[in-house]
Amino acid sequence: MKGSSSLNKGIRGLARGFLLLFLALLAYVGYLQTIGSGAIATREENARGALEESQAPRGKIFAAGGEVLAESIPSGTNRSGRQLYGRIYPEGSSTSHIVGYISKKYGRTGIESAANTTLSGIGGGRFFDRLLRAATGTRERGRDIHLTLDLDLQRAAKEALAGRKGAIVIVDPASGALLAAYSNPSYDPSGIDSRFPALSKQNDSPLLNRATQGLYPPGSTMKVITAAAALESGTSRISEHFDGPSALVVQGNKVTNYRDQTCGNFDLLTAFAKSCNTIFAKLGLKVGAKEMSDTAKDFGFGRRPPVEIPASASRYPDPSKMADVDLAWSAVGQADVLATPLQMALVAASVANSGVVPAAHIVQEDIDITRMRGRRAVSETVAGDLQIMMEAVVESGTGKAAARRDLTIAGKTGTAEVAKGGSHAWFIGYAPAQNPTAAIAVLVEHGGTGGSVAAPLAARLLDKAAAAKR
Amino acid sequence: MRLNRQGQARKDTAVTALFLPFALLLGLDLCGFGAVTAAAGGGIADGLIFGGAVWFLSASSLLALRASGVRELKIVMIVICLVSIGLLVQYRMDRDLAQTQLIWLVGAVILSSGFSLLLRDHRALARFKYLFGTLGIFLLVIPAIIGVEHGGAKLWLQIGPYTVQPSEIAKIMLAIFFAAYLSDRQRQLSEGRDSAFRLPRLADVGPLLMMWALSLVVLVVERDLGSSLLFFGLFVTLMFAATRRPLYPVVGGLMFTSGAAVSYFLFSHLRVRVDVWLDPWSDFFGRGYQIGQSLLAMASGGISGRGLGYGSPSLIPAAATDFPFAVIGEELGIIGTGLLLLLYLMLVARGFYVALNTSDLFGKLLAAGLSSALALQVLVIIGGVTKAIPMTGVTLPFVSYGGSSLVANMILITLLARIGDPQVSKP
Repeated sequence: MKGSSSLNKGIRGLARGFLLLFLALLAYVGYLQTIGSGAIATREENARGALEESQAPRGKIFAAGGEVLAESIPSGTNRSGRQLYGRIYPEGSSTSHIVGYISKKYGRTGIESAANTTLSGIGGGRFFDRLLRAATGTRERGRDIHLTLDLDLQRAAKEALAGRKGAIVIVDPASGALLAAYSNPSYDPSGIDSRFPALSKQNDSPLLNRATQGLYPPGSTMKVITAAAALESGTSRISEHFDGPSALVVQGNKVTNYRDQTCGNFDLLTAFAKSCNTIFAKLGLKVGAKEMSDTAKDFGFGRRPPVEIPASASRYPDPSKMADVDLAWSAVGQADVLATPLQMALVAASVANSGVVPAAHIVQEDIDITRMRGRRAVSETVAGDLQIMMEAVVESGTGKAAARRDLTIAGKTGTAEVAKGGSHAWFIGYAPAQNPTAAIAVLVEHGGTGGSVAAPLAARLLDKAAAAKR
Repeated sequence: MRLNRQGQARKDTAVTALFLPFALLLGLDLCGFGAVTAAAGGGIADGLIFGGAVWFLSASSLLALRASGVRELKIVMIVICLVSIGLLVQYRMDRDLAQTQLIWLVGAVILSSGFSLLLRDHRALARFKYLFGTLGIFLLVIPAIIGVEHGGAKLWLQIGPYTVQPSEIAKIMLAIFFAAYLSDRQRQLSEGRDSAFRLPRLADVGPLLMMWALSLVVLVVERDLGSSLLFFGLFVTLMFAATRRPLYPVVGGLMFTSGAAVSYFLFSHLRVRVDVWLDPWSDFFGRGYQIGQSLLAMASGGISGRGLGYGSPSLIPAAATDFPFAVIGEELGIIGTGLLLLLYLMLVARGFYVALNTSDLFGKLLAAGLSSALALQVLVIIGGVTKAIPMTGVTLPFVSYGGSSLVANMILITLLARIGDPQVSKP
C-alpha cells in the first residue's frame, strides 16, 4: 500500500528522532555522573556522609595538644540492631567555626566538610568492596584528623573577645600553621539540625566565620603594605622625610589624620609609628596604583589563602580604575580595600618571617611540600626595615598599649572608618620581635581605635603564646 | 534491535534466545534484594523471599499475558525487567510500599490480560475514536477542575483512599483517537508533499493551533509542564509520522517553547518553577531542595554508585513516587541509570518495530503513538529529575511508585504488544 510505505518512512523518522533524544539524554546523564559529578558532589549542601556517619564511627578531630574537638559516640541502635553513632563537640562554640558540623539536613561545614573523606573513611563507588565488607561483617572506620590549633590560645581568644563582635587570628610566622582563629559571635554546633533555621536568621550572623571570611577595611594596618610597596620599589627610604599636614587635598577631597592632628615633618619610620594618614596618602600617590596593587597581591590579596576551611580573598581595587583620591585613601586602608583578619595576620607573619608569606594551613596531616612553601612578598632588607618600623609602633607610637615588660612586641594599629557605626579596631603584630613565634591579627567590629581597644587584647594573647613556647 | 528497512514482518524466532538474558537479569535483581537487606544489617532472608516473590510473579505475568493472546513477548519481557528494577528500588526505600506495588502489579497484569482477551482485533478500537478523543481530553483536563494539588501541580483525582493520575489513561485514549483520525485522513494529508516546507494550509494549521492552545491551558491551569508537553508532543509526533512534514516538530516545537516561555513570565507560580530549575542552589533549603538533593544523589553515585542500600534516598522528598531515577543514580551509578535508559530505549524501539511491521494504517499509527507517548514520558521525567528541563509531575513508567500509573502503562504496552497483523493476532 502506498500509504503504508510512506507512513513507514514517517515512523522511521520518528524512531530515529527519539533514538537521538535518548542518546542525548544518556550523554547528559553520563556527564552528570562522571565528569560533572565532582563539582556537584563536593557541594557543602551534600550531607551524604552524615547518614553513613550514623552507622560507622567517624574519625576524631584533635587540637594540636591532643584535645578532642569532635568525636563520634555510640547513641543507640537501629531497627536491625546496628550500632548508631552521634557526633559531639566538646569545645562547643570555642571551635565551631573551624571544626564545623555535619548535619543530615544542612550538609557539612568547616573541617568536618573539608576532611570528610578521611573522617568518614568511606569513599564513593566501591560497591564490591562494600558488599564484601557487608558479607564479612567488618565495619567501616573513619580516620582521625589533627589540627594545628592551640586550644589554650583559642580559648583565650574567645575570652578576649567576649561580648564583642570580631575575630582573632594567630599564626605561626614560619610555617603558616593556624594556632587560633576565633570569630565572635559563635554558636554551639551540637543540635545544629534544630538550631540552624534560627541561627541563619540571626542579625549578627553567628554562622559567619569572621576570622577567615569577614571582609573589613583594614585601616592603618594597610600602611604595612604601603610602606612595603614604597621600600621595595625604591620609591622611598625609611629615613626619608615628609611633611604631614592635618589634611591632604586630593582631587577636591580631603584625606585627614586622626582627630585632624598635624603630623609635622616626620621620617617614614616616625610617620609609621605615629600612623600619620596624610604622609602615607602622599606615599601612596608617589608609589602609584599599579605598584600598590602588585604589592598587595604579593602579600596575598586577590587570592584565597590556602587554608583548608573556606576563606575569602581580600581585595585591593583594580589599579586601572583608580582615581588619585581612591589611591590616596587606599594607602591608608580605606576606599574599597577589604581584608580578612586571616589575611592581615599573614601580613604580620610575613614581616616576622623576613618577607616570606607563609602558607596558611590548619590540618597537620596535610603535609604537601609544594603547597607548604611560602611566597616571598618583599626582600629580606625591606622586611628588616618593616620590622624596625613595627617595633617602633609599640615602643613609641600608637601601639603603646601593647607594650610588655618582658616581651618585645612589634605591630601596627588600625582604626578603620566605616559608613555606619563606629570604626573597626585593628591590631596586627608578632612577638617576640627578635625570634617571632606567633603573629596575630585582632579585629573588633565597631570597637573604637586600634590602639586603645585591639592592641591590649593582642598583647595579652601574644604573651600567652610566647609563654607557651618557653 | 534493528528496524527492518523494508518494513516487512520478520519471523521472530529469537524469543527463546531472550529468555536466558531475561532470567539472568532477574537473577541479578534477586541478588539486589539480598544486597539491600544485607546493607540494612538485617538477615538476607526477607530480601530473598521478596525477591523470589518478584521472580515468581514476573514469570506468571509473562505466562498470563501470553495466554491472553500477546505474541509480541519481547515487549513484555523488557517491561517485566523494568518493573522488577522498580520493585527493587521501592523495596530498598520502603518495604511496605514495595509490597503494595507488588499487589498493584498483580492487579495490572490481571486487568491487562483481561483487556487482551477481550480485544480480538485492535482495529475495533478505531470505531470509537470520537469517544476516546472526548474522554481523553476530558481526563486530561478534569484535574484542573476537581483535582487535588501535589507538589505544586494539579494532576491528581482523589477517589476514596486512592489518588489517581487520569493523564496516564488519557494518553492511551488520545493515542487511539489521533491514530484513528489520522489513518482516515491519511491519503488527504500526505498527498503531493515531497518538499519539506510548503506554506501550511488552514486544515493543517487549524488543529495544530487548537492543540497548542489546549496544551497551554493544561500547562497554566494544572501547572505541570509534563502533561502538556506529553499531550502536545503526542499530537505533533503523530502528525509528523502521518505527513512527514518537518513543519510539525519544528514549528510545533517553537510554538510550544515560546508559549511556555510567555506563560512562565505571565504566571508567577510557573516562574517559580523555572527559577528553581535554573538555579536550585540559591534556594536550596526552600524550593530547590528536592531537585538539589536529586542532583547531589546522582553526582554522589558516580560510575558504579555508592552501593545498593548505601545511599541516602531519605534525603530526597517523595523519592519513591517522583525520583526513583535519582535513587538508582546514587546507589548504582551511571551503570544503573544507563542500563535503565537502555531498557526504555529498547522498549520504545520495539514499539516502533511493531508499528513498522503492522500492515493496517490505524495499527501503524496507534503503535507509533503509544511508543511515542511512552518515549516522551520517559524523556520528560528523566529530563526533569536531572535538571535538563524543569521538574514535572509525570511518573517514570513501571519504576515509579503508583498504582494507577502501573495499571495504565501495563494496559498501554499490552495494547502495543497486541497490535500486529490481524490474522496473526487472533489467539
